[in-house]
Amino acid sequence: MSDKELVEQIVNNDNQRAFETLVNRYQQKVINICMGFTASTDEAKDISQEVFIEVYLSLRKFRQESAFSTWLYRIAVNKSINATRQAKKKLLVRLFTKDNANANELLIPADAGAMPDAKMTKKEDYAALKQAIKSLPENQHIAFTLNKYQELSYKEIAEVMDISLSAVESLIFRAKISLQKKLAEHFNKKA
Amino acid sequence: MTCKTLNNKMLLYIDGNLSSNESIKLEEHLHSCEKCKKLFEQVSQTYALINEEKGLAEADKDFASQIWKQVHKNRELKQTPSIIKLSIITTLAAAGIALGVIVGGTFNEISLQNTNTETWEQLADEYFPEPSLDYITSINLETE
Repeated sequence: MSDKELVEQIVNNDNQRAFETLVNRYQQKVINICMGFTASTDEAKDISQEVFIEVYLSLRKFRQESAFSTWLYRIAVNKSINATRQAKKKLLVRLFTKDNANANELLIPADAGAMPDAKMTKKEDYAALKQAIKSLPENQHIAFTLNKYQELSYKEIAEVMDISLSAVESLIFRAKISLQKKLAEHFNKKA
Repeated sequence: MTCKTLNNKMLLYIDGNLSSNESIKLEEHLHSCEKCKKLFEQVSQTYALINEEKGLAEADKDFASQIWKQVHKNRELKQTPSIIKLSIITTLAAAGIALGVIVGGTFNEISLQNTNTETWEQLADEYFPEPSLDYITSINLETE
């Protein structure tokens, strides 16, 4: 059954099976997007849950002018950005309220230890990568995440972000150069 | 290709965003520069963590049904207070109206009584003015 048909089933008949099919179809993709913005898998799962709740509640407003996936990814990006902003605020509060000795711990992603071959890849490198992605300007961060975590084409990213194809190319290009510089700085410091 | 140029283009190379000509130049530099080669290995290993990261967060099997339950639970919770609210509002409104009628009626009676008495007194004063003292004394004189 197509996305459109499933959406109609949910809107017209409040069909649980249709809703669950739609969620199952996209849940991993949404979690991947959220992973690009968050520091932990649990956080990514929580945000993706919020995304699908929002989808259910707003489905009647969805006019099917764009593809369902485009609309869904937009919601996922918005929810993730909001969560990131709130997390940044909380982090700032904690940094100012806790002693500075704990500050670095707060900046290391919660999943660093859970990474496969954590000893080889090192927590620090993973933290540096996540920190570098986090520090990207918002538009670059969105474009990069949709491209790397969700593996969307430039055309699909342009639709989700509602910008031109050349703008997407430019954002991703600049994001990669910026990440490259930060990673190089990180490894040069270690050397 | 210089070390600086290569440092900017590693990720683009890894993702296949460079032209074949640029890729060849980059590879040639990597073969000739140990420092850049080491950095390239470190960067590419770290960058590859994104792919490992994606596999880390897998959705639970009952993810979809959990959301369905949550949405409908929230709906019920939202609906229940509205029913309670509606009944409370109706009862309070009815009580308010009843109280208003009783209090209003009582005050109305008092004010009606007052206004009636006052109005009659006013009319009486206008049509039958109280005689002045001079007029009374003059009557007394005439009778004497």
